[in-house]
Amino acid sequence: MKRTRQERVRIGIFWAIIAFSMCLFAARLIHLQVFCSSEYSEVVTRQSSRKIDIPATRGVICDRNGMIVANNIVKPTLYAWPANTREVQDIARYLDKLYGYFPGTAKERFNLRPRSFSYIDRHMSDALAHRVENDAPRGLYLRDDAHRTYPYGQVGRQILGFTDIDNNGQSGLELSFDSVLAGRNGIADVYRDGLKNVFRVREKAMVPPQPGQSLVLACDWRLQEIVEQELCSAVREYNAEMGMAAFVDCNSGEVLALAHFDPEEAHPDKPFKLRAISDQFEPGSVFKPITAAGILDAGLVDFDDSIYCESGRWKIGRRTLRDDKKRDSLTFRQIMELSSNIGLAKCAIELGGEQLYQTAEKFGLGRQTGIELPGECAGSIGRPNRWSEYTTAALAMGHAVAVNSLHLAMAFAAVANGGELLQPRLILGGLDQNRRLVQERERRVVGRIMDHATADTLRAMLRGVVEHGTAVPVNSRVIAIAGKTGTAQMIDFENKRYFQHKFMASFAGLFPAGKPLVAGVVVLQNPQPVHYGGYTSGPTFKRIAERYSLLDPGRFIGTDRILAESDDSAPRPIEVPDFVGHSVDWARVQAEDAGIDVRSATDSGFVAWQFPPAGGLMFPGDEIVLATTNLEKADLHMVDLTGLSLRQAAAFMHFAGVTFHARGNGHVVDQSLRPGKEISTRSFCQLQLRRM
Amino acid sequence: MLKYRELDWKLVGAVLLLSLIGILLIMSAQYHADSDYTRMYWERQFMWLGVAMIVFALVLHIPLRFFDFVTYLLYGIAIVLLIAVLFFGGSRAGAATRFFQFGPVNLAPSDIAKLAVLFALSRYFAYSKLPVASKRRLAVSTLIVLVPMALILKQPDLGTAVVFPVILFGLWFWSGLSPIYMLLIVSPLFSLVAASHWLAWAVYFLVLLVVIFLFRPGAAFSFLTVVANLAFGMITPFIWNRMADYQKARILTFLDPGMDPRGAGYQIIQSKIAIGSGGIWGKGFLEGSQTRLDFLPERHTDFIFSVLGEEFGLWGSLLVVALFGFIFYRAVHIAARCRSTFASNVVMGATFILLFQFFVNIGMTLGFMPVTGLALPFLSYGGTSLVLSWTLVALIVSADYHWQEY
Repeated sequence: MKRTRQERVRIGIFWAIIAFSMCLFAARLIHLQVFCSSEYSEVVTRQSSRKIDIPATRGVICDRNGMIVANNIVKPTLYAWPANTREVQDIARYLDKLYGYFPGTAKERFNLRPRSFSYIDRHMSDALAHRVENDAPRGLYLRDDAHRTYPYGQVGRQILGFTDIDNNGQSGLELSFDSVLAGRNGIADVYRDGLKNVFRVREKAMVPPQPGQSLVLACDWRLQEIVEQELCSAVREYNAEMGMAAFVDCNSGEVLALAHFDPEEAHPDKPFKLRAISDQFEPGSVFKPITAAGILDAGLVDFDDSIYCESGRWKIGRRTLRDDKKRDSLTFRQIMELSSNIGLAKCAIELGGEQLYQTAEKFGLGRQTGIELPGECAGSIGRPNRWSEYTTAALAMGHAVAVNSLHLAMAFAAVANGGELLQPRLILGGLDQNRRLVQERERRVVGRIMDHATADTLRAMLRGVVEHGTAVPVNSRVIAIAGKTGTAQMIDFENKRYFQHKFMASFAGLFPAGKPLVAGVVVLQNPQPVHYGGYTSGPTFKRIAERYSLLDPGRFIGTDRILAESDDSAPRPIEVPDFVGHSVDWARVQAEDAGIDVRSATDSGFVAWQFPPAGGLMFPGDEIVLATTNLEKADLHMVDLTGLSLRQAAAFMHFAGVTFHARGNGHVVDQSLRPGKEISTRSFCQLQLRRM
Repeated sequence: MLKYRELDWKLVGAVLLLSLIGILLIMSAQYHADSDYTRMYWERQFMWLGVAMIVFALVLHIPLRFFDFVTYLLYGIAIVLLIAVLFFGGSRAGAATRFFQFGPVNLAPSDIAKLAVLFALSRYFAYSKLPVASKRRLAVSTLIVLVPMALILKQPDLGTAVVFPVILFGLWFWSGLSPIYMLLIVSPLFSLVAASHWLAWAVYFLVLLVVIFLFRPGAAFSFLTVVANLAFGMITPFIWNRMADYQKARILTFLDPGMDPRGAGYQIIQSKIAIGSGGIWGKGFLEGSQTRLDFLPERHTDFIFSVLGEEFGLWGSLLVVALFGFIFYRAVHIAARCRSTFASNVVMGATFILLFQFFVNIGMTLGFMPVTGLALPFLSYGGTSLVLSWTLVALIVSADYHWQEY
């Protein structure tokens, strides 16, 4: 067949078109699949896999006795992740019904939108969660989230701090040890499809979460509760604006309790500071033992040396020092006991400002103590080269220097332990899987700050203060207390002068006096109308010391335990009888004879446990809590906890193994497990407390 | 009676192979789908392949002369159906009315219209005695295409409508019209695009005038061309504003897919990722992660080639491209040797339809064509598309069998 030239060109053009498209595609395919292949493979991996955090369990916090003071509970969290508008509508309708909203409210309230994640309820009750589980529409999901819980309610919360809803520490230990407690989140590698559905975990790529390290605190939560209760009642009783206290183990530097009580505090359950370490003040006379340590160490006076006290008025330069009472001549010991400003100022001036400054610095004042909590203030001491004699005298009396409560407690601990300034320790160590103490932190001595002899002398003087000095009301029949009172004028920062009638009343001390175990300080801000430390902070210190030593008399028994023989009008402590193993009836009879009350769940059966434990001390009229059991049925029964302190209630709960959570402060007024109910280790009890 | 031995079995074999590969890919594309309904796609495509082969056999037994005879009747029926579907048609996506529903079968009049226009143009060009470039001949052939095309645009179905001018241009060219004429005829469309910027439009217009001056296609034709170019240039903003958002988005994302990676550009990007990640040897049958994880949209219809590229890599893709190349090679060969002008025109028109769909679809999956919704012949899921493609092949094979007839 013969074709015209035109036809041949036409066919040729067709061949060209076909060949061109073939070559174009081939080239493009080679470009994509050979040269760009690895790049696109990476894109595939990137877009089709995603890493998801598996939250780690936060570490728990125990006190020194092993009681868990910060724990985690798992609570269901409800969230919405609707895929499309229809699911949004379904969810909105469902939530309106679930929460009883006016129809149409839920969509706005929870900001429901297609393909967007929103939390509905992050602390859901189990009952509601169960309901949702059964009939939730598509797009509404439940997830178990761990939440922080503090079984002892507000006790010690200033130390512990709190976490936000995502379990990040916000203050206190939760903040400063956040990285330790939080652990490391695990990673799950999941496939994700083009519709953003996550649907398969790649097992081999998973990093398991590392649970957070648990901490053991040096604090004794029993003392912490006592301190908080006593501060609270002191602030009310003495009309103070605020009270704070710090107690440490004087031999090891372990912090036993730290607290403040401020009736004006807006959110006591979310404390942002612990004023016992964050507030500084001029200590006043409680500083005098530090001055005395400098004087005694320098060998300027012996404690029996007499010093002329100028009849209560002494001019230094243009200013006049005054004493409370006119005295002519006092021994150095009397100067301390009666807190004579003039006597001490004379010695201090002889010692010299530079020397006194160094003494104060040796005691750790003017710098942070180094406790493991955020927000500690360093305090300050004025510069010695500018000091006049009057300033030296002022420092000797505890002015011109600012400290926090813990500074004072550590200084008194140094006096108590024979002259070693210790680093305060809040953390004893961590807990391993078997709940054993690991990584124990060492006792750290900052330095020897006075001779052993000086410390002994000072201790004797401090005992004298309580026995026949300014702190006579502090003298206890139960435990020998030594200490020093302080009543310092508060600084009026606005007008840059001292308030005439506002005082910081303080008492710093140690007990038992002969072989001290605990040193501590109680400070009340502006108590009215009585403002003397010896009559406000002192008695508070005394009650704390008495109650604490009665908790654990074994530790405090020794030569120093004083049971006053003379005063018959006051009740005398008796030894706690041992009821364990006896029948409840027998225990009742015995208790009646001893004049103590008994509280138990049942009237029959046998005593399995008692609180306080046998061998301790208690006053007649106090209550003893019994846990009873039957021989036939081994179940324990719930005791009526009403009226007991949280400490007593917690002791029972610990024995019975019941998980509990306390709300409020003070004494138990309500309990979710009724008295007489059988309990097991799986029971949970909510306690409501109120101040009486 | 047909002598089966003399049929072009190589061509039929290539088409059958493509159809079977298509079923395999559809199977893979919806293998992990949630519902049984989607999982059964490949079974239904298999059934449709049977239907397509029956239609193929039927068409083979009907002489081309018969189609020549009923051409204008068929054309009339197609127009009536196209009008009717606007009023009584069903729709899938909600907006467009595209097909009649007879039980499980969806009959799209646009597919019948494709065949009708193919026959009508073939016949007109075969028997018209007018000179190739005469105004009357150009106008009538344009009209034949424009009526059904307008009706399909009304549905609206831009993707199908663009096939019609392709048949027209193919047959114009095949019947001897100079490409310069065709360029001048489509020049108003270039004007439309160029007018988006005044400088581009000025340069374009200068080039247009030079071309007209050089080739002198006749005074009236030249005048009309210039006027049309001016008019189209001026209505560009107007047209742009009247376009549906999805059409605008398609054009813009064709120009720059990265502009909207989560929206309209998503499909092209994901398709390129799928093909690119397939590499030389592919990820293996049923192993494509893009396919399996729902990243590829429309993967059993428009983007079936991406599934191929991902799972069978370069060699699979090149194989399919080569098979298409072989079909087109055979088809042009047949068109060239047919003695009947009508038959030759039909073969060329059919080839153009297939070639255009092939080019646009694979071009789209490879990222240098806009997303139009044109299916890949033989491979994409869809019964009517498969039957229509096989019908076109039947016409080609039939023309080859009777090549000696005038």
